[in-house]
Amino acid sequence: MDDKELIKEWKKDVPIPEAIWKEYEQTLEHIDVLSEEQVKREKIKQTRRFELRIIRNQKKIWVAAVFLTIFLAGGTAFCYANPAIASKFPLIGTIFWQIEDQVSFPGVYSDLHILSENNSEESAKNIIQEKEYSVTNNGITITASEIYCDGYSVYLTVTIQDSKGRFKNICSYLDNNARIDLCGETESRSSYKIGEEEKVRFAKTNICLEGKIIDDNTYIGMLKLDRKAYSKEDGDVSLDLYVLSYTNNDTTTITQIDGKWNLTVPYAANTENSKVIEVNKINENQIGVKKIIVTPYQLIVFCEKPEDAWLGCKAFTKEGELEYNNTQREEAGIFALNNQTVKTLHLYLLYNPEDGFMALNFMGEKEEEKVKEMCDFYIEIPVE
Amino acid sequence: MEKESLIKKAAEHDKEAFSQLMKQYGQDLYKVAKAILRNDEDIADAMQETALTCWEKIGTLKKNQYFKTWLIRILINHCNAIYRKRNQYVLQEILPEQAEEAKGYETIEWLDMLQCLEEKYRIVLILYYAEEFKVKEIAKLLCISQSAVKQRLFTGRKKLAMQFEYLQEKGCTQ
Repeated sequence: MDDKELIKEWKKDVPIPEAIWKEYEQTLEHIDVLSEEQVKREKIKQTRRFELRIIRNQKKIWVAAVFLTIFLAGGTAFCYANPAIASKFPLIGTIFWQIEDQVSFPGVYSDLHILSENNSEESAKNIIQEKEYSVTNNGITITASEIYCDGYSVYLTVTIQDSKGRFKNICSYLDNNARIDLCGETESRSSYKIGEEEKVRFAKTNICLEGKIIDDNTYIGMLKLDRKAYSKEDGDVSLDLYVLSYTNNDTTTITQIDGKWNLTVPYAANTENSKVIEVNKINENQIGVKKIIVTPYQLIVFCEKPEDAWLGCKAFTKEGELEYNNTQREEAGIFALNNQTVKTLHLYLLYNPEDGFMALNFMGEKEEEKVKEMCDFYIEIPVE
Repeated sequence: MEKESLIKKAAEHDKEAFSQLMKQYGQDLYKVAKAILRNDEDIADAMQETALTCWEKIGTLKKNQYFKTWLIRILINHCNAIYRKRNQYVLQEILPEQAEEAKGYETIEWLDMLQCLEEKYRIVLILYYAEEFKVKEIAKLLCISQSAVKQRLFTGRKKLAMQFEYLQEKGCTQ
């Protein structure tokens, strides 16, 4: 069925269940009265939320006191290694598990906590002491919580608190994802050695936080920063931010908050489950794949193409197509693995595709031969 | 009365005009809500909450020509809130059994087949094909990139086609 037929089909009126329509009509009939009652209910809810906040703050103080006592009693990073305490302490070390399913590169980030119970040194690198990595300016406090590096990208979770309670206006999406843009100079740095000489590598990227609104004053989110190149080196992430902005619920306006927030957070690269596969297959038209990198969360495809050409890349595994994500790197296509374990990869490259990938109408096995003919380059890569 | 003048009167809190206007958009609201939520009760809640919010905030609408986009945005927000509470998941494997249990399963409606997809695909398909929003508008409504919209449209169509083929083999479609 082509687009015209689909549109024709779906534009037809559908039978609306009588119960739904009746309730809808009744709402419209009494809209003015219902609206007043709604306003009253909102006011009651707001009062209740304020009361709960007071109770929560009292609890926080108590928990912090317990936390401090345990810490002072001796031991290494067991306070963070204990998920029960970590989960009660305001959001530190607990953000990954809350949002790992809804971000653009979903996956299990939170098993870092499980690792941390066995290896307190690793936990100390992945989970961040609140006091050291927190900065406040213009009523906004940004606190780093957890950090992880898969060799290619650094994933950092943060809590953002707004003393003015503006976060109720942030636009949320279907998958409960709410985005905040942080603007400024942001870079990830890693150092490496050539012989005895120490070198430093920088990569600068724009940042978009993905996460969720906890309440009017609190947002938790994760940002993904791509390093300049894949490596096993440790490094640090430096954030030098001057604007925090987000789309409002009406989707047409943006709230922008100026400030100055500087944070530098060290990380350890964990490439245990990442691999680089050199492919180096290029056809006579100079189109091909140089290498791919597979981490637990993403697939990065480095392509070869003629200069100034736009190359479209599609990636499939046995479970289906991988979702393409925007990349700041022209030479690489980045795909979210979405919890898949990749055994074999099928890559299709299309030279100067028009209007994105709609030209590639891959409908299933029957069409695969046609797709291969349409594409300018195809390769099957065993990953495991 | 034409939609344009209905919107103008509704913005002045003319209850009759507002009611007529919202009934005219009833189909659109139902289709979009059904793409996100599965439960009739939740769909009813979402539509009513949308009507209420719309009544309260219609005075803030800056341009009447964006009324539909604005309305759908409000609906999506309410569906999202209900979805979060219910934590519903669509299981693609369920389709064959649903087809057998539903009345008149021998004719599967395209919209019913949408229920087999994950909701991120359902919503873009409905907004694009049923509501005829452009990719750019959908990107804005859902606050995702245009390429994400295109990818989801493509993937959603592909999955829908595979489901349709499966049902054809089973003899469940016309």
